[in-house]
Amino acid sequence: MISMPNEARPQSTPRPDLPDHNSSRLYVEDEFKGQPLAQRLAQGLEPTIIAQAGPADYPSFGRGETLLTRHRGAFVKPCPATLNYNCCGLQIFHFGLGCTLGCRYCILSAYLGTEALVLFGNIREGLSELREILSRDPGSRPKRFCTGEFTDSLLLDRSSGLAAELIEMFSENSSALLELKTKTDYIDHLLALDHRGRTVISFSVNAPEICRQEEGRAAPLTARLAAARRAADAGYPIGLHFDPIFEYPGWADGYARTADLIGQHLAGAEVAWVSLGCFRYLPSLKDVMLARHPGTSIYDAEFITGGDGKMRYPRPLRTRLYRGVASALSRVLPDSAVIYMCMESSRVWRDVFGTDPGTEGLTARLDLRALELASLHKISIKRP
Amino acid sequence: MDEIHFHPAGLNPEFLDPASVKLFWPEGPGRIDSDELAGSINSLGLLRPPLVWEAGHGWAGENDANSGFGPACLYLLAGSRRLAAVKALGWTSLPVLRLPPDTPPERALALGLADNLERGFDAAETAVIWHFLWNRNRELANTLAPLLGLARSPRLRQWSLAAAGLPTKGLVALAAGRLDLETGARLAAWAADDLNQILNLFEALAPSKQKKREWLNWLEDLSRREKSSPGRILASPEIAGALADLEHRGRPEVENDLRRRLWRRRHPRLAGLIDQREARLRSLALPPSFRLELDPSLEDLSFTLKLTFSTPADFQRLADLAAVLKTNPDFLKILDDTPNDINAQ
Repeated sequence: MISMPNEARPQSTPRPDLPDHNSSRLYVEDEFKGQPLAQRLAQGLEPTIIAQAGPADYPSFGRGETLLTRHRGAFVKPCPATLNYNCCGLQIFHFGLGCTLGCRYCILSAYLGTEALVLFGNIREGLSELREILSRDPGSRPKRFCTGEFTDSLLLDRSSGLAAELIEMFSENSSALLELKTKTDYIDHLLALDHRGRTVISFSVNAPEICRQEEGRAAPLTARLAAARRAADAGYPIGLHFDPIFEYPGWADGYARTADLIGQHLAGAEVAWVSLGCFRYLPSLKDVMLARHPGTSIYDAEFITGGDGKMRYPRPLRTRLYRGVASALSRVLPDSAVIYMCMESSRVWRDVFGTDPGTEGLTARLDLRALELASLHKISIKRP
Repeated sequence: MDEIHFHPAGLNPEFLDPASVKLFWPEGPGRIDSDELAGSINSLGLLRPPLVWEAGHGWAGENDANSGFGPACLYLLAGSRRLAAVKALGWTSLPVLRLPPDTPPERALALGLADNLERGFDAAETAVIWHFLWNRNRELANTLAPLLGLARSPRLRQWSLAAAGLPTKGLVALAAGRLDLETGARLAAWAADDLNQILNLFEALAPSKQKKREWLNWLEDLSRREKSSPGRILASPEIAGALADLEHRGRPEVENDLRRRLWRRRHPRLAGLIDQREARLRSLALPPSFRLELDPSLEDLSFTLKLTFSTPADFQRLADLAAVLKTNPDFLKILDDTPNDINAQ
């Protein structure tokens, strides 16, 4: 049993309650005990060494515990798209699982069956796999990759150092783009890197009330947008993800305020893309979350069972919400801004944007945007 | 778990006053009826003596004054129905197998549980015994879990632990299989009045397990949203009206009515949308042979039209109807509703 000191956070918002990677216990599989990643995570303290732990064992690790284990499977895989809804065709670089930010809608809680953080000790194998994919003919391989699907891309990054390696890898490739997605403001260690505009730093954003009430220990909205400003100053394209969008009394004003804040922090040209996604969840998530957060009312709304088995707001309501948020964004972003919906039906696409690109069309549109950004060959940012 | 090396078959029976033996395990409600066994013992005799153990070795809750455990007592590890039966028959001397005092607790308890395996534990017994073990010694509880059928599933253990908190009425339903373990675990957290009402409802309508869960979901959601309680919601005229005249209407009809009323109260905006679409559909006055099926989820990923015909002429009439329908504003409204069709929050 170990405890680890907090790492200094020079420019980020002081959030002493934010757990970062500093769990109460660190478990390391025997084969990784001497590796630099284990040492960085342990911060010089002795971790608990265990023989082996596979996915079936993850639920036996709990809140406040971090596990460094071997990943047995592909590190790069397509986003787990669902039936009947348009997918953007993003590829996930899978470096770990779980998140300690404690958002009350977090789908990871239902997917993973654990509140522990899981990191893969054999990440070098993953980086080799990714490098091999990037070396293939650009015409026939995916263009966009991200790390923030099963965990927050940057929550652990000041210890793991993974993002810097990925940014460097993508900086050498003019036909692929990396997206790092976060709800933290831990971006300062990335600012001086020579990214060549081939990494998008994306922030999950929401209405201010939702950020305050439902997003646990995530950085405050203004801190996220201030971090987006710093990242944009360092030349990074910025992604924004309004996901999940909630209906609550005053939602239109709330999302309009967030759009205004975006306009105050970022110029339209600095925004790579904006995604929209209404609140949806696996049925099993509700009981888990209500047990953890009995005060939340987000599950009291009316839901239908979608074509993918997830609980969703009724379609006409989703259309209303998307139109409202898109309209608010249109006041601060140029007409050319790429705004898309994550996992929405053709019907909703037509009702909101007047056209249905389908999965293929959406993927192509975002790939094109990625190639635009990746081929700009931005001037390297001077290192301090 | 470790192999049990000691076997009670090697023990010689000794005779005790049945009144001097205390029950070791908590009683499940399903274990009370011993009349049939008493009849068998009366005619054939007691074929298998109960198993007793001098607890008092620092394990069996000797500090728990309320439990009745004490260092000088003899505890019945197996044979509670046999004990009840011989007491009912008025026996004053009971043959028992007495475990040696130095029997380790894990072995004694394992023998006690194993002796009961033959008849099997019902869900209520499993719950109360698991709760008993877990609250006294978690390590030992984990060791003995396989004998209770709780070896592999943390969820089953969790449910059993929670369900043990049900009042007798709930435990009786659990023991009889009228309440499943998951539902029982969930209901154990309900206030007594709410619990009583829902158990009465389950008793009256005997809904399926799936429907029970569905109703509990809606009642709990409504309680949170309306800052009310399941009992008050069930007692409200809007919901309670469904239960009127149960005898004449019969269970299935009442059950459907109750389900519909609960669903509508839980989903007023969806109910409004569906009513609106159904009214539009009715206004089209389509014949039964031309059946347009609406997607109850409102996702409208696709629409289904079922045509029933037997002759080319029939088919032509239906095709003509479709051709006319495609310009009907009400029909188009069904296919192309708008966000304004759902009430604003």
